[in-house]
Amino acid sequence: MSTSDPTTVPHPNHPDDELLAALAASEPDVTADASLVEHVVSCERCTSVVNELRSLRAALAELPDIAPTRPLRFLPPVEPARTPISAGWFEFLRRVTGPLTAVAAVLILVGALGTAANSGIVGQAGSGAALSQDLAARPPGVPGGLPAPATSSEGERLSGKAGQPSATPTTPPLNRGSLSPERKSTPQPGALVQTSPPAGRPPFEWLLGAGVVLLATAFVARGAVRRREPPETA
Amino acid sequence: MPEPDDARSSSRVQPLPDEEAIVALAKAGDRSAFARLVEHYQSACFGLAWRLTGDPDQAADATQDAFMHAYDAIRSHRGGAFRSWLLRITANASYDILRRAQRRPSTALPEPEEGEAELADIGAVDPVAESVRSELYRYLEGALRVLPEDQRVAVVLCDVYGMDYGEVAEMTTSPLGTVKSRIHRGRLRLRELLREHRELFER
Repeated sequence: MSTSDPTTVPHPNHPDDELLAALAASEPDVTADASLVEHVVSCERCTSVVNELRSLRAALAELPDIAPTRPLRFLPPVEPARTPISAGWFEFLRRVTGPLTAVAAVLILVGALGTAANSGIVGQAGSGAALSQDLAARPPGVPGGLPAPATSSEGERLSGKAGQPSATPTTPPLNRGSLSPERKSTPQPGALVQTSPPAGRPPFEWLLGAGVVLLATAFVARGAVRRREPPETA
Repeated sequence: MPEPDDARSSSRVQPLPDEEAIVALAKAGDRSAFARLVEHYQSACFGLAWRLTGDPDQAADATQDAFMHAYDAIRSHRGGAFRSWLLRITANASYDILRRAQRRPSTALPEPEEGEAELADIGAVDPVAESVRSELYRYLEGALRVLPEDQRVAVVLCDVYGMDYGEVAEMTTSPLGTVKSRIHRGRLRLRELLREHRELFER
């Protein structure tokens, strides 16, 4: 290399330095330019630039590898071992999760509706019974309590039998103010009575619980299937 | 004058004698085989990452990321030189870190302006220089560090690691003409930076 350094000063008659760099890299479209090559061969400055660039490339290609400045981890951490699932069991789980979820949803829906309906009936009957007992516990004639026992004529008037001769003796006074066992078993229209769910109705709470258990099972099965399946690649 | 490709193979880590068999084991899921491969090439990967990022910590992060990516992608290795495949992954990881660093300008060093950069004595400031024994290499590494980033990346990938223009363009998502121009300007800038040490190139 020359030490007078005429090479770093651009000259209007010299080709562009980037063109010389392309020539130094032996790029075909530049080496095919005969006039350029002819100039470089005859020009000390351009020859020097090309040679220096080639020496530079050679030196760059010799740069050694560099040891890491800190220890590096070569492997990702080992994933925790999973319980192996056999292919047949996996296929069974894959097929059963959908229907299981559907059945669970139906059970939950039916159970919830049935439970809600039962709760409405029992709640109404329960409140009626409580109200009846409350009213019965108050002494007759007390405001808010049961009305005083009607006299025979008043009773007959209320029962639509006014003016008709009474065929039966009047109820003994001791029995008035409380419902007799016969009247409890045969309620009058409009009386508050306690009712119970009809016999033969499905136990909706059990259905609801079974539905929840099935749904949880379906979710667990689906999780196992997803862990087994390979992840989607981007 | 030696051609770059000829010289390149003489000063870098050489492939393992039974590398193809080890790669096959790694592709079959043998973790120890994969570890042996990346341990063998860790200096090559770290050197590339350090030259691209210009920072040893970022280089270590990039190399670590590259190893994890390589482990995930080892089954997609289609043969050929494992070193080149691993270096491409390392270059991508380094370039990702460079991009992320550019999005955090408060932590990034300012890029030296063209014409204002001084050739750094990296032996005084950089711990990595301990591994760079040759005076020529020291000046070359220092000159590379003061290149503008786009030129440094292109020159390192092309001239230091032997990638062709097309590979550099693909890696940096830049047009081919832009890559050529960056490489040419980078080489000319290096020549200018090293003009006081020309005698080193004549040894």
